[in-house]
Amino acid sequence: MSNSVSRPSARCLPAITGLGCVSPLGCGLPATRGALREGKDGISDVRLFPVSGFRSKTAGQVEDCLLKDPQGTRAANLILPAVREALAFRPGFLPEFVVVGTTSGGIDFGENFLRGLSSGMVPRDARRWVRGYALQQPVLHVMEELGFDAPVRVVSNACASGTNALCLAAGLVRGGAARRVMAIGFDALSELIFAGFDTLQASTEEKCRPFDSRRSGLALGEGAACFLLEDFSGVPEEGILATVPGWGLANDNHHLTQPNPDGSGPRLSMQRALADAGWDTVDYINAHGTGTAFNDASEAAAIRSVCPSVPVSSTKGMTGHALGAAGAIEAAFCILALEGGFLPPNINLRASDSGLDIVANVARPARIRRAMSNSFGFGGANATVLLEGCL
Amino acid sequence: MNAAILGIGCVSPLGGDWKTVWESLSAGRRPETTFLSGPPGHPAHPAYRVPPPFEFHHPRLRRASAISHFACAAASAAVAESGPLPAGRTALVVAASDGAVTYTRRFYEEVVKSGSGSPLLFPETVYNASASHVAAMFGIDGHVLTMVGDATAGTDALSTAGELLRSGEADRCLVVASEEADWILCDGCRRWRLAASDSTSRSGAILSEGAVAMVLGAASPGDIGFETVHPGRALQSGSRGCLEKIYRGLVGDRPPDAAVLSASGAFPGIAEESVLVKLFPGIRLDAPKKLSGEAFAVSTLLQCACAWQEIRDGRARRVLVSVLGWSGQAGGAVLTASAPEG
Repeated sequence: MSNSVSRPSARCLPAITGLGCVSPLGCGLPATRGALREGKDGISDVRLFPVSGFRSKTAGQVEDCLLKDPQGTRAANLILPAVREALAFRPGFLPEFVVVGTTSGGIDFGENFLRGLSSGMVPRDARRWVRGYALQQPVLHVMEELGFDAPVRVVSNACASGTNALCLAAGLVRGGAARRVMAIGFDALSELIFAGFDTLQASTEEKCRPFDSRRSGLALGEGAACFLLEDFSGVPEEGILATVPGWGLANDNHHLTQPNPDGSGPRLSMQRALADAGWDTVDYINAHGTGTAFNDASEAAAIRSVCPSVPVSSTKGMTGHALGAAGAIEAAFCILALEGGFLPPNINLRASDSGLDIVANVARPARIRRAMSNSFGFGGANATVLLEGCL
Repeated sequence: MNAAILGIGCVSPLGGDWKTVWESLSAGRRPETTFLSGPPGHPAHPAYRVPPPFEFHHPRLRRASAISHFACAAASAAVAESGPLPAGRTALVVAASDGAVTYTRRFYEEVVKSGSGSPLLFPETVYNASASHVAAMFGIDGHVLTMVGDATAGTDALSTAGELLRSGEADRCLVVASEEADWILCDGCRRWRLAASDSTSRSGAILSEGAVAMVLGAASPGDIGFETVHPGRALQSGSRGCLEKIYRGLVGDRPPDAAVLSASGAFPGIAEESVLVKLFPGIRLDAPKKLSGEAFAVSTLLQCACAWQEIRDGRARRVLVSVLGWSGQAGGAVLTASAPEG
């Protein structure tokens, strides 16, 4: 990646020096970059559990052949290649802290346990399932596998978790609490959560169409992304993939599952991020854009009031909504867009009702320097992270 | 000092407020044991329950899980003690280990049995549901974070709160831990050989529930609070050496007067006492979880409240809180009083 980064002001500037990504678009950055450029549709029929009783039958799934560790949960299998890929950028990188965003940890082990009990059997693997169910366990498993150790901080702020993890990790670097921090966002597709969104009638029976006037809901997804963060001043410029100049959090205190229709939470989150970085605007926004009526309307209202003319896309039409991993994966997409000179497309769009400059259906060539990634979750959790590339 | 404790709230099987809970612990009282029933053919498991029906009245909590009621009640008591939270300058950090386990179990049971679950149950299964309710109750619109893990989720939440205060991102931080006991949680921990099979068992802990909340802020002279916090790290191999390192890092050159252990009867606590006695000969040790039961992150904040009370009552000046989590993480904190004025 080319480098010419504006030197920061006095406070530490968190720099991303390693990156790994696993999503329905592919395992690893080269595959992901290519899929983003071509607008690949990563949504397919659900294979992991029976879906005949659900309205929705599709989700973004990572190909099973890419997941290798038979001892791990599906989540651990998603995390491992992402962490390996990130560490390959900085051989010998030993994090002083690992900050993780997830909503469900090793949920497949928990499901196995409950299914076993429900069927009246004593599960043979019960002890392993119970232990593996804990949210932090997939990451601890991967750390043990790769032979490193550090305090693990797990934040579970619903669908904002991945962005929260990246922001908390950047905060540790910026505040001087740690020099080397790893941030991970992950979530694996699970029956429980699939059923949950289905019962809320939030998931679509056809395609996920963020910002489309005839949208019909979200598709779930899965994946993991990993970032290595260090203080900018301590890293050679050629080792910097992007910097994290600012971020913002806001809680909209409106409803447990619905955003405030006036977009006040997302607006505050974006405004706080811009103020934190000292920026007026950005060159590209990767929207949370789930393809649900409430979320799209609230976010579009917020973007119109904060950055009205900035190109916007939601990549969830390609990947599905990876929940706790979404923010991390989409921040990784932003870095690929900054580095590659293109804006990822918002696929499946027919006619938008958002009043925004949506990057419709095909990637748009653009030399950009500053990107924003939004993540909003249940509980009114809103998080925005800003990324600056190396033009 | 990193952060002073300006208010404490508590909901526990030992009582509905911190004063009552502390009196019960001081008197060596245990809560009444309840046996939770599971599916046919499976054993009942002992637990310490907050006496039902426990309900904290707030419009947000109409369909909320028990942990959200506990969290809101404890937070409300802590804020009543600390005084109003500054608008726009307050952060909320909630610690949880298992979240709304009862709603999660019920929802998934419905899915397994009938192919779909109730839309009323699912929203409360997210780990940050309690944080959402507490934030709405107090109008906290900035940093609202839910930290999840074993008992070290409590130290992690305290550590995160300290960072937010130090960085100037907040002037006050409300830290809340909340847990609820459920048969499936007890059964899982029993299979893991961590939970006891009955209340007289000498091996394994009795699972408990409730919430502890603390309001943290800048220290004034004489305030009691956190000198240092270790958020927690995996012990993996060589656990005694790693524990020693964590304790030494926390206390520095000055040995503490007392330590509040995380021992609750389960095997992860075995190394703790011997390492502390070796490092700090003659140290006074308290193990409140042997009375109150194991409630993970809630117990961690309860241990910190005990340390705070010891200092406040003049029984100690500097207290180490040791936290060992069941997934092999260890952390801790040192509490002390800030220097008096003059």
